[in-house]
Parts: sequence; structure tokens; C-alpha cells
Amino acid sequence: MEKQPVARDCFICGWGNEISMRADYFNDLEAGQVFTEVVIPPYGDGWPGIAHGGIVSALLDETSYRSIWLDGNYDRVMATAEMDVYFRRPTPTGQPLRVVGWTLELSEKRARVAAEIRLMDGTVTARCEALLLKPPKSFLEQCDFEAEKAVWKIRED
Amino acid sequence: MDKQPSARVCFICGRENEQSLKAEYYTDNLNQQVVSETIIPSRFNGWPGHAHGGLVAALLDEAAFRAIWIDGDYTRSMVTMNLKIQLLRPTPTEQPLKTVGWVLEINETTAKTASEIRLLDGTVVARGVATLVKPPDSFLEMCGWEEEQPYFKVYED
Repeated sequence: MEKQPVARDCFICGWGNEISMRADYFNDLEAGQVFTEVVIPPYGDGWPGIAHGGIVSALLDETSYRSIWLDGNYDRVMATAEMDVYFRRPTPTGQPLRVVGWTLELSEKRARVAAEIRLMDGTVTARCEALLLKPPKSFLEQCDFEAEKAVWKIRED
Repeated sequence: MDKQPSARVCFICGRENEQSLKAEYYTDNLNQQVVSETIIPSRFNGWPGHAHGGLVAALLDEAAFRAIWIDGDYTRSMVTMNLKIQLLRPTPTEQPLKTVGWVLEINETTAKTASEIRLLDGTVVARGVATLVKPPDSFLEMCGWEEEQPYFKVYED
């Protein structure tokens, strides 16, 4: 399965961010989904041993976003505009989780995407749906996106 | 304004979590809001210079949650069941932000609360609405809440 590139700074996937979760994402074309296996470090606690709702949201945001890259077109750039998160059960820190993302609708300018976090036994702990929009050029310039994209890479195992 | 207690481990407010934002929340009785001034460190970038959507969600979640403590009853415990957010503009890292939370509806077992992140010039960058529910006693036991409680207090500056 094809591995997606990771950014430098991003705290979920980044290769150059000391506290990044170093999540690697894979394109599962057969299932029509992207997925990652990740452990939320203890620093992501809200309650002891249980991830803060915001960290859960971060993983769902990243994973649902990455579903728009399932076709391998990593030039497609969008930004999350809205997200709706359902916390069904506590999501543990310090334990492997499987996070899966898929696209509901995709056009040139917008996408509706979804993701869910599962324990290794398949129990779903949280789900999201998000609306992504193509950002204006000014935003990409402000982020110095071209320079940033040049340092994206596929992490070796 | 009354300072609200902080937890030990929490990713947003925790005093003994190295990566925590160490956000402090105040109850503004006059406006019936909770407020916090926080800087998101650049290690939580999604895009360069901008917070990951999940970090924005984390701040919105925390402020929406803390709104249920406006009356000073810190024994009231709830957990977020649903969080809907709108990311209106990019949220910068390494810049002071004001986060505000308030209650829309509250009863013994559920609450609906809202929150907003603003730049210091008042520009709203993100908004959230949360549905909170009282967790079962088994959840509090699972988190070791009894053990945690002594560390849940107002820390002096």
C-alpha cells in the first residue's frame, strides 16, 4: 500500500517536530480509505489515561483530511472549515489506535470527509465529519506553502 | 474574576504535563463567561505559523467545558459527547489568543455550551458548540479521579 508523505512541522505527522505523533498514513485503495496506526502519547491526556477531546479531534481532522489524497494527488490542497466530532467512548492514550478516513464528496473546491478512531479490537471511540475548502492563494503564500512542500517526505520505516 | 482550578495531566491546563499549554481560566461573573489568554506554541503547527485544526478544537473544547463551572461548582463533572466547530480563519501559533466560553443550556445531566477563539483585536478565528453529558461513575473510577482530585486546584501565579 502506498505511504503518504508527511510534513515537517505538523504535530500529528511531522518528521521534524520533536513531539509529533509521527503518524504515517497509507492509501488502502481496495477499501477506499486512508489509515494510520498511532499511539497518543501521555501528554495528550485530558483525564488521566484518556485523550483530551481536542487531541481526539486533531487525529480525526488529520485523518479525514488525508482521505482527499487517496488518489495520490498530493498537490490537492484544502483547509478544514467545519468539523463535527462525536465522542462515543473514552479514547485511551498510550495504546495503539487505528484511525481510518474516507471521502464522502469531492470537487475542485470542496470536500466532505469523515474519519473514525478504533481500538485494536475494532471498537469505535470517536467519529467525525468535516467540510474542507480550497484556501485562497493568499493563505498559501502566507504559510510559505511552496517552501514547506519542498520538505515533505515519505518517512522510511 | 475568579481563577478556575487546573488539573495535573490535562493537555490544555495541566500543571505537570510538559507539553501542556498551561492555560488558566477565569470566570467573568459579570458577562457570565469563562476566559483565557493563551499562546499556542509552534510545536502545534499544522501549517507553518498556523495551529493544527485539532489544537483549535482542543481550545474550543476546553473553554466550552469550563463554561459549566461559571457558578463555581467545580464538583460538576461532564464529558464532551459532541463538538461542532467552525474554523473561520487561520489561527496563528506564537501569538496571544483570547478564548471565551459560555453556557447555552444546562441541567443536572446534560449541557450545551459554546466557545470562541479571538485574536487580541477581537477578530473571531474559530467557534464551537459542545454537547456535554454527565459520565457514569464507572468512567470517573476508570480515570482514577479520586487520586487526581488533590492535584485539581487553583495554582497561584
